[in-house]
Amino acid sequence: MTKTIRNFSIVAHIDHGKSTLADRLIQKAGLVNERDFRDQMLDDLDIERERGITVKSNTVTLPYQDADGTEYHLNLIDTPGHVDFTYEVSRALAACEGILLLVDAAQGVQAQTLAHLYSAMEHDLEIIPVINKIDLPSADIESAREQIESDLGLSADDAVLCSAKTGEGVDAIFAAVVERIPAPKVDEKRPLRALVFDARYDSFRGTIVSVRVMEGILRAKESIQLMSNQAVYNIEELGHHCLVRQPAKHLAAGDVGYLIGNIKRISDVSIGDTITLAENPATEPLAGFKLVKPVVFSSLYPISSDDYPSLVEALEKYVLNDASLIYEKDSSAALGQGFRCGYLGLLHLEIVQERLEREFDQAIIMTMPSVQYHFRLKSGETVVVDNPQYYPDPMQIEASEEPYIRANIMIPERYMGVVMELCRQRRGENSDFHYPAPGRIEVKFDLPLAEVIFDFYDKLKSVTQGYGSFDYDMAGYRESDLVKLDILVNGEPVDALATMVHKERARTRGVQICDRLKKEIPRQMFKIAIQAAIGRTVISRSTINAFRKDVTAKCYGGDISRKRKLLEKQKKGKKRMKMVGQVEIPQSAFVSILKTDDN
Amino acid sequence: MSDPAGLYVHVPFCLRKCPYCDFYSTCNLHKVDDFLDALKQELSMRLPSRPCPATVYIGGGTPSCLPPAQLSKLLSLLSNAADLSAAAEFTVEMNPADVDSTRLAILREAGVGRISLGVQSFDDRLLKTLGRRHDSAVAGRAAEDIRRHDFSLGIDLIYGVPGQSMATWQSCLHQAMSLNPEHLSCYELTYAAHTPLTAQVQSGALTALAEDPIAEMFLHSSDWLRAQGYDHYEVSNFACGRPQRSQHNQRYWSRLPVIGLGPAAHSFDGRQRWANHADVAAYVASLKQNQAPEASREQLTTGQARTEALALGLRTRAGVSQDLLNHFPKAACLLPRFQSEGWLRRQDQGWQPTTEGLLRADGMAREII
Repeated sequence: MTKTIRNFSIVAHIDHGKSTLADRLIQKAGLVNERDFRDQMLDDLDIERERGITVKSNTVTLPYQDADGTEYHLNLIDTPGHVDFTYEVSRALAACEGILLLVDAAQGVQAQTLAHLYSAMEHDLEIIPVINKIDLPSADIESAREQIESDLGLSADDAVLCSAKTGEGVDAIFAAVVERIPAPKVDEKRPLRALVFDARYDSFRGTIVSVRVMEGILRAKESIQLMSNQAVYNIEELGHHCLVRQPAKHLAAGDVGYLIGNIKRISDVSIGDTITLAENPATEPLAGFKLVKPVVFSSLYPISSDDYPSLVEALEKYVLNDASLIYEKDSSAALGQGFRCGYLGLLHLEIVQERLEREFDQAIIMTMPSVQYHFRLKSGETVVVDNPQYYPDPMQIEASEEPYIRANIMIPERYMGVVMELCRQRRGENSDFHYPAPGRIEVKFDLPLAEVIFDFYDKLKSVTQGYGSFDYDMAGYRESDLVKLDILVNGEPVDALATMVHKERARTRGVQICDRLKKEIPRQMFKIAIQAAIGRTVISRSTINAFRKDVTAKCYGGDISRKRKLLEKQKKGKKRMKMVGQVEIPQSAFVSILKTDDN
Repeated sequence: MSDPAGLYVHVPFCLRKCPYCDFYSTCNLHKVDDFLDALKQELSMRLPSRPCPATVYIGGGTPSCLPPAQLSKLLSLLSNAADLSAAAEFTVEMNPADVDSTRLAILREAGVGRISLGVQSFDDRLLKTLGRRHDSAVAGRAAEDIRRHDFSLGIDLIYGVPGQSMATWQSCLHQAMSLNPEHLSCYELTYAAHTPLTAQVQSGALTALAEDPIAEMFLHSSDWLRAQGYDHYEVSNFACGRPQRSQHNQRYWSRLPVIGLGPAAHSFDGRQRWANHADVAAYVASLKQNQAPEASREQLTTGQARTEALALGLRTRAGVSQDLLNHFPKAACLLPRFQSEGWLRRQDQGWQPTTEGLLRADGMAREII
């Protein structure tokens, strides 16, 4: 049975054609007719289609018949493509026996191609290099082959040539998947162990869990247990993802599919968890499970406080589909009632913000993201603070600590200088280098997490022209010199704009915030003074001058209705502004300070 | 019309369009007769009982560009449809280039007492920028002509023109003053959307003046004209003594009824506002079919009426009453602030804008509502 199963994933540098190839495989397998076909079949969210990224992974079982007439189940497991979701990717790869490693025929091997190769090697996967986009006039197949040999250390003879766009070579890919990716090696006799590698929420059926059965057999109507928390559920339905769910009687070892079992919330299931049978459970869970903890914290407020109840409802619905977002009530003198939220990273934060605005129609303000700091007080007590509102009285602080990561950066040698410079700017230390292949460097750095969460990844991409890849492990807490940076508008501190920063970075950050706010806050009737301060010391300031004049020249006949309508419109526009003290601050001002820039 | 309303007639013709102007007009003077026929029809429709309007104002466009015969016809249509003898004020707008004894005699004969003269500037260079048909010498002669025919004279000026300095504006005011006008309107140049002048600024062919010099010009006009004995009674208007204030325009700012006739004219009857088609052909076509030439009409809610009263009141030196302000919850904390900034003064049962306040009338209205 398992001989006819293949579990694989497509991995690629951004824009090398992953979604297009997935589309083509789905079409070729006959899962969808021409009429229903749309681009990026596996990307459900608007934000995925627009940004061309995959946020939620999707799985699809492709039926395939080889030349001999043997029927196969090819399980294509999609993976998200951002460092915020590294763990999800690792779990998806753990469900595979092989990968298609896409290389753009025009662009050749790129940073992420390499990073993906390494993760595939870590999971001991069969790697099939695929040279895509061979239809492009700029395609240079020969040099792509050379790079596969020299940069990836794979045999270029094994590379499959294809154009996902035209469909050329897609048959060869199917053949290669069947011939070269090993069938799962399994033991159906042992107690059930199934890997949870994805979960999504369906408003009719509850949580739908994607699993790879590693050992044993999973049958409909059985009772299962989640090994991390011993929770027991009855399976109502299981089967294969064929774009639509196709129920089956069982999922045997080696198989990939879904199960539904009256699991009310998506947060009841953790990615990487092991499912076993309630009766006759396995003794050990599968390796590699960890609870994903938020690393970035920020508060969320409705722009208009009247909209608080609707935000509550939106968040309740939102987390049904995104278990990695955690939130609790928060309140601010400036912004009123809201929530403190924890995110996997800044991209995750942006995704949450965008989805709340688009899918749930919420007008929200987010405060400056923060990591979790530790403060040891003179009383001997240690407090954990991720919200500047709870920054302890400075007189009581004995010592402060901030979280560090061990960054793993892979770059072509020529970018060494700029990357070193970037890491040093971000207070990086303990550098270490390896040369995994000629011309390539693997750089390791200890970096404060706070320096990484903002735009480190974007910055790295930009200084390395897209060739830098990056992932990290948490590396514990280290002593640090932290201060609370207050932002004052017309002399009043605005709690929602406060941040905790390293003392060395305070001035730069203060200047930056004052400048950003000056740019984003429109001129008003009165002069607005913006200051950044540590305690009582003002470290930077900017001023938004008042209107010198604010009146139209003429107001006769038709001008009167026009003026009235304009006033009515402006009154409505004010609802998108937040009154802080006596100053109207637009949402864009809060957003602008979330972006840091080293210039 | 139970109470006498003001009467406004829009003459939608110009010999040429000025590049800054966004009022509706056409340069096709072949349509004047059609327009006059339609106007006759509109007059009979709107003023069936030959009322006595409180004020009469003929504007445009350029009413003075009509050939004398058609100008006469226009005036006789009006006097046939309404009793103009009791009007407190009867004004006609004129372009200085059109002023001649023939036209002035026709106007005098019809009972017009006041000429609003579109001088705009006494600086020939700026007049070119503004695309005007006349130069400063023509404007000076026109004013003297008007005086000789015994009209009350109102002069319109524009400041904030690209290339204008404070010195040229001061000299412009001096020259206007030397003509002893009973009334002076000083309008800041407005860059209306989709006008050639705005396009020139957007393309960089002209550079708009910055906010500060414009504000300085405004303040200077107010200070200097008041020193000359003029009364700065509305953002852009000055009168040589209270009786010389424009009766007709004050009706707009006090929200008194004004019936507007002609294409693009706006009307207000105390509760509803409506506008005529801003197109001669559409206007003529409607009236040919004996239909009101209305393009839109709206009934104001009490809240909307208050918003208007507030916005208009803050533009006049008379200001707004405390009674009105009581309807705006934000007023209570804003008024003292505006007062301490020197923008409003408390007086009797209301609040009056200072000169600095007039300069921020829209801003204050926006904050209060």
